[in-house]
Amino acid sequence: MSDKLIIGGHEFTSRFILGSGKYDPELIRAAVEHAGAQIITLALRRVNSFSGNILEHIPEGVTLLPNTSGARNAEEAVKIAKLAREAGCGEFIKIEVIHDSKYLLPDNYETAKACEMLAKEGFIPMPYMYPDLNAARDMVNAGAAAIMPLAAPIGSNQGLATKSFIRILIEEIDLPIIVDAGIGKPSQACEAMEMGAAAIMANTAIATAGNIVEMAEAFRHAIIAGRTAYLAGTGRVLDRASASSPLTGFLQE
Amino acid sequence: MDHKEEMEMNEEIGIREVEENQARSDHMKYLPDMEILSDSDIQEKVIRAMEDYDYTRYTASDVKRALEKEYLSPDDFGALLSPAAEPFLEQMARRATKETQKHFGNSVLLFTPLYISNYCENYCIYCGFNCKNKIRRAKLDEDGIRREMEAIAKTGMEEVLILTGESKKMSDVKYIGRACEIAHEYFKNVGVEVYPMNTDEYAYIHKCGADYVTVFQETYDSERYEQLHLAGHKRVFPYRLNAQERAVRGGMRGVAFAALLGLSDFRKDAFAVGNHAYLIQRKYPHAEISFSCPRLRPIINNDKINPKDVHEKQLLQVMCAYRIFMPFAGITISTRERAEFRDHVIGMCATKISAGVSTGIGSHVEGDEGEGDSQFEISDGRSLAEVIEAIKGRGLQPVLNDYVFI
Repeated sequence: MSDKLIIGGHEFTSRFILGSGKYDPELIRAAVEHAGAQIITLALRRVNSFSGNILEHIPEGVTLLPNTSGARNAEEAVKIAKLAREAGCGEFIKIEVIHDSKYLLPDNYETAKACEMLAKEGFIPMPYMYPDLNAARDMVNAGAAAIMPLAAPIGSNQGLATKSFIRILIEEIDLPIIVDAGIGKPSQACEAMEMGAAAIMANTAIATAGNIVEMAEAFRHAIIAGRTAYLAGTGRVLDRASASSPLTGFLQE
Repeated sequence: MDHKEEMEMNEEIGIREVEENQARSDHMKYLPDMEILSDSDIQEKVIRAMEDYDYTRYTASDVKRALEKEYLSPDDFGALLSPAAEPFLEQMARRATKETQKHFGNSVLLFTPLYISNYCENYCIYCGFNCKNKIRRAKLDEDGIRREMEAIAKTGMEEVLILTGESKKMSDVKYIGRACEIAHEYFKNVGVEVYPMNTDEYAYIHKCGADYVTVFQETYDSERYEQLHLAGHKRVFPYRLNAQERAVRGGMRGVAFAALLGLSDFRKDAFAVGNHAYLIQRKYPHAEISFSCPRLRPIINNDKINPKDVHEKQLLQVMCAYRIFMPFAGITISTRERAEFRDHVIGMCATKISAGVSTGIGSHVEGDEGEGDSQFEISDGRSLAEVIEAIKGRGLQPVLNDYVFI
């Protein structure tokens, strides 16, 4: 089957991306071996540690997606992206621009600016954003390789709180839409994939599970199930019962 | 000596001296070189809310309601700090653990404080560094700072907090800035805990490589503050209170808040600390907020049972209340606490723990006795390697750095 996820010209067969944040080697192993992750996000500010222990735990063949967490504006995001490239993390960059310490909501305006600056510098920008169609279009025009809308406040495990808006992005944006932040359960990942999301990014949901390995497996199955359903074309689901006599029955010609 | 004993003794001396010398300066009046944030109403709001905070009016149902809310208001925070919340400490600990996990995962940050000078021009009657105390004074020169930092960095530490006694004469802004520049060569993350500065001075220190500023207000009770801080720059209550706002305006990424619990009514002080941080974060949403939780230990075997005493139980209540009220804020657990207490609160409410601590001057270099005396006695003298093992032993992940200077 040739259903591939293509980001910035690179092909992936897996549609699960391990988010950054609650790192530990066990989680990375579970994500790769049991959830089939081929892309792993990591915060440069963590890689930046002298001990370098995170990079040691990244299995071979896995694509690194460094993020710019810690950036409060576009300029800072660019600086961090460059540091990541120097550290050997490659061209992919997940743009995170946040200047709200309470809810950690991304700043779409600064993110779009960072997208443009980074695309010009030869990066493959993947912006983490609040699902707003206008902002997403700006990011596409600025050279984004994928759009990563948040499903719910980060770490909240609330599921698809922004579902209606993500659906609009899926309809209107021609790039992969990768649902990021907020996915708390496999069923929610499945739902997003069924809607047409290109991939799912998760971290907390697996990191805080009772059994990390089993939860990683569950996510893999859920994502595959959702994707398969999307490709199969979901059946007709009626909102309400059909009227017994048709409203257009009066037409004669 | 016990801190409180020390304090009571010092207090007596202090009062005697005050009687001898009636003319204490107005502690609410800024000195000429102190910047006034005339456009800020944060101090006024913090003090008014603290004065209005009556913790006796809260009931069990207020506490339960607060614990059920997703986002807590300052009033809910007040309920969690009240005596009515004491029977709910277990529930608070559970909620706090959940919040800590949600926002910080398993991570526990590590740092070490480095005292580079213990000269002090303040007379704070509870503090070992105060200018009337006959202790060995010392100040590290550039080489000394470098040697100490090298020794700390060798242990694997990546974050350092630079401390001085509060003497702008003996440790001027330039000296502290130079220490930050040197620290920047050895560490990934540099913070300062020094005397409060003006906005432009914070901007300078930031340029030298520091991004985090800690200032303990000690107590938000201005009358009590006046009795405890008898002389020196530190005596000026409002200048200290507005330090965090000036630091943020000076470009610092994060600011830390604390009261020395036990100096005054700890519930009111903790309420003021939380509210202060809350108001700063609302006004400067990008500012990273953190709390420290130092306390004066109650005297054990004391016949008098003082409801204002801060035992471990009350300390934990305050820490959990901070966590539940501001789940995204960092909380640092002091080395003044014993190892077992520290090991249990990481992952529950604390997110940062010090290791390899020495509060003397020049005492990190091996074989070096140190040139200057300590500020206070620590209760947890474990090395970095030992603390790392303890963190892992609790199923948590030690993190040496989670920051990039840009």
